Amino acid sequence: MKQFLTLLKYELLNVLRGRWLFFYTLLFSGVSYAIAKLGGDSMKAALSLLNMVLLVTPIVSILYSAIYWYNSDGFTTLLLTQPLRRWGIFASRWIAISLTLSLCFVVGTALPFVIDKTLTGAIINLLLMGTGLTFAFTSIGLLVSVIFNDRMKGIGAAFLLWFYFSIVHDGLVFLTMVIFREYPLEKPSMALVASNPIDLTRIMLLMKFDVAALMGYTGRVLQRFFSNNWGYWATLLVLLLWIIIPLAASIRRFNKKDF
Amino acid sequence: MKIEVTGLKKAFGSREVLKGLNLEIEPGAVSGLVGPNACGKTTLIKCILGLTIPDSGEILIGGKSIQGDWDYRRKIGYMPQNPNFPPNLTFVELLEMLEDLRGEGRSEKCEELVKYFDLEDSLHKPFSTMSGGTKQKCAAVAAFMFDPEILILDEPSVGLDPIAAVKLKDLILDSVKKGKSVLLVSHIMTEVEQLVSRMVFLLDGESAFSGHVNDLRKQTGEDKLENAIVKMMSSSRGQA
Amino acid sequence: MGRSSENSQRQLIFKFLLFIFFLAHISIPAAAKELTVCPTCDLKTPQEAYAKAQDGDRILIKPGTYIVHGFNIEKSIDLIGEGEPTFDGQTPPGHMIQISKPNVKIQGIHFTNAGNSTVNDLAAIYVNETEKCFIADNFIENSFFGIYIAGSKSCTILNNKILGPNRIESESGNAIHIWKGEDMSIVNNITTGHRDGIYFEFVSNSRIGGNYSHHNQRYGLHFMFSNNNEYRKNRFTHNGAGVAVMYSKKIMMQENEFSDSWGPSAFGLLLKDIYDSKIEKNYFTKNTIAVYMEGSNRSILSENNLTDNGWALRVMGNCEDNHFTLNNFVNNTFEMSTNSSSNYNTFHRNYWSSYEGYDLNRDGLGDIPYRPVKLSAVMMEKFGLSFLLIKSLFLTIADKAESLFPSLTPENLYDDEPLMKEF
Repeated sequence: MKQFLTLLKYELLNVLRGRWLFFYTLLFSGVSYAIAKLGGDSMKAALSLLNMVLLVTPIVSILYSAIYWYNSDGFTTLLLTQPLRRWGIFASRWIAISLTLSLCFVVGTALPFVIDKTLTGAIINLLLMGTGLTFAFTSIGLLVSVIFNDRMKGIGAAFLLWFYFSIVHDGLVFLTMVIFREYPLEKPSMALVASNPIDLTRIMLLMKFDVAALMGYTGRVLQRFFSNNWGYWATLLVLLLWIIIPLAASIRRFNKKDF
Repeated sequence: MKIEVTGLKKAFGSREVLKGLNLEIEPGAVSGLVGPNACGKTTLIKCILGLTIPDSGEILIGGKSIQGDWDYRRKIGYMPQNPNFPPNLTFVELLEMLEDLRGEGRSEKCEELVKYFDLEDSLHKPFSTMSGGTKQKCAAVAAFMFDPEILILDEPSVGLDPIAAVKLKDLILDSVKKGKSVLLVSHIMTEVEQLVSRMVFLLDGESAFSGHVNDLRKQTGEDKLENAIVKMMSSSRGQA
Repeated sequence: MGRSSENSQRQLIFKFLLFIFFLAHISIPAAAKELTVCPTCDLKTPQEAYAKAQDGDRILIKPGTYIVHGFNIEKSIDLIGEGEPTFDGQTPPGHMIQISKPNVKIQGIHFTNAGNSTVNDLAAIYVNETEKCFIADNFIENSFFGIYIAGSKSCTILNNKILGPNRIESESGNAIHIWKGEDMSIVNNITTGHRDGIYFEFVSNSRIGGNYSHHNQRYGLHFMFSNNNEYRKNRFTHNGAGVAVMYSKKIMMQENEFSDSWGPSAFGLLLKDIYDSKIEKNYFTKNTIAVYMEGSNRSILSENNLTDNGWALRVMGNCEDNHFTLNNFVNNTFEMSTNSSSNYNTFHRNYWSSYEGYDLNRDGLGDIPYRPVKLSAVMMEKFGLSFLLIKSLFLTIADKAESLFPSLTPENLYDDEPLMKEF
């Protein structure tokens, strides 16, 4: 355990050296500030913030983790020749990246609101979900990096995966709805949505932001899902799965990998 | 400490690199690892270090199998070819990190070695600003500083200035006297001749010869080690 | 001398006769009485006082609780409460007070425990076939119908607070219910907890203003076949189904607030078969559907604010010649949806918060027309589950792409000169 914490310390120090982190934080504060000033309390501002978070955190997490992994190849090899557990090397790196990216995101986004004292429960929810997404996509990014030895292929794959989760998946869901419209689609649709962490987060936050104006038009399953905290906890659970499963797969892969 | 390799097999995809390798590295001697390019030298070393996981076969260090073990690396000091240190890290930071990760407290030999290789001025320099030779010397310090039972040195003298090369040689011989096992990979024949007392000759993923240098001389009928090695390499090509 | 004195005598007699004539025709009213009712007075109940009252009298009721039901008022009297006395109906099988004569005033009284029946329409105050009644400043609590007016005209319902028992819709009546009325004034009342807050059938030429109708099971306001009415500065919020108006023409709705109507059958304002009307300067906020129009023609909707709704406008294909102008559509999830690909209405110079056009000539009007019906709105019509994809990157991109080449959205439904700033 002590070994792990020591490793974590050094991984964190290494990640924190990255200059891009500062710009990442700045990006979030800048956009968050602009949205707060222009939109104020309105739902429009909340939706803009939501869109920014859903767009930026996955792509930054997945690409940053992949690029960082490939860049620290020498460091990885060095660590592997030391009397250290393999999984500890990987897990500490995962934590270091996820934590740092999340911190930048939370601090950057929350700062304008904290200064203005306009921090609401909805925004805190947004920060929580954004952190979840960061962890999940870091897991996915590292999984891709571990699988692909070639740097170009790995980063390309990371980008493609992000593209899939952000856009293509929804297109496929839509197509499914159109093609199979004769069939009862409520539960399958929910399952399809749950299979995409971005979609899941989006819907949960939309519900919290009260775009539930449209709740009248959803079926009963959806309504039940969203009307009480059951849906909220289910979302967190699925997000957790999206964080843990790629991580577990990566560690397994890493343990057997040849360097 | 003895390294015993039995029936080591490793393939990368369809390419078989190690085909049932058997050899032994004895303590108290420098074992030279020789062979033509792509014969599996690097793969063997990586297997011993745990960087690469063999498909089958066994590696015993000090009588214990290394499979699934990570702590055994405590006993190994490794000098890689072209050391790849994190560029933004300084030398002293690296040393402290290695000590920290090992959890055994400060290494006494560390300061000695830094002085020995004249690296005091380089302590606070980041690796990105170091020349290849300096990095090599740093790698030497890192390899020897925990006084490991086993030393694996991959082309250690390449890039070293003559003084440093001599110092390293002396350090190696000193270690051998203390009973360490040294595995040396080198193409520099003079170095091999000076240091090596045992030889492992790898050909095509198998051990073509493993034993005392004098036995190699006898086998090939060559007195000069360099010629003996060349003869081994070319004869294999003749066979192949 | 004889003649002129005869003349002046005749004149004098004439004047005197004239005077008598006039005297006979001046009806000197008998002085209007004021009767006081209180638990310790001579007159202990309103009914006692009523028995003694004549047209024009005033019955003053002091604080106390009086049992009142089946009280038929057939004289033109004023029933005035001082210090809000309570009329307890004790849940009678009939109305509490029934008025069938003109010029009756009921003011300042707290009515409770009126009759309850799903078969008969029982009310706290029932006005039948008369005119000029004045019902003001009362607090009607726990009734089935609060104030029920049938076949009457020129009545004023002012400043009453009608708090219903909040039973389920099938077991509730309406707070203010008028069947067949003319020249009514319904002003500054609070109606809540009933099935409908304000209900009209065949009511015309009336003014409805300043009322606050909220938290009713069904409609805050519901009228049918009621023409030429004016609705101003009312607030309709948190009603189960919003507001629904039907089968009427020449309606004026100005500066009202329609908000917080949620659910699949709730509408900020539902217009069905409404003609030649004006809906202006109203506020529609946080409704699932702000304005729903069906079979309605030739009306003008202008200067309204539609903000934070699910759908701002839902206009069915059978609406024609309606004119939408100078409205502000701000931050609605869907600005507009329709069920038809043809459009017979006009949209001109509205502000749409999702409009992303440019204004090169700086005239405050967008240079390219705006189509408020988005692909995602059309898709929501056809595939309700596509709700799950709301605000997703995919749908946003699809919307934008489709709006460049409209093929699935109605092509001739557009605002030709969208405003660049809110009106």
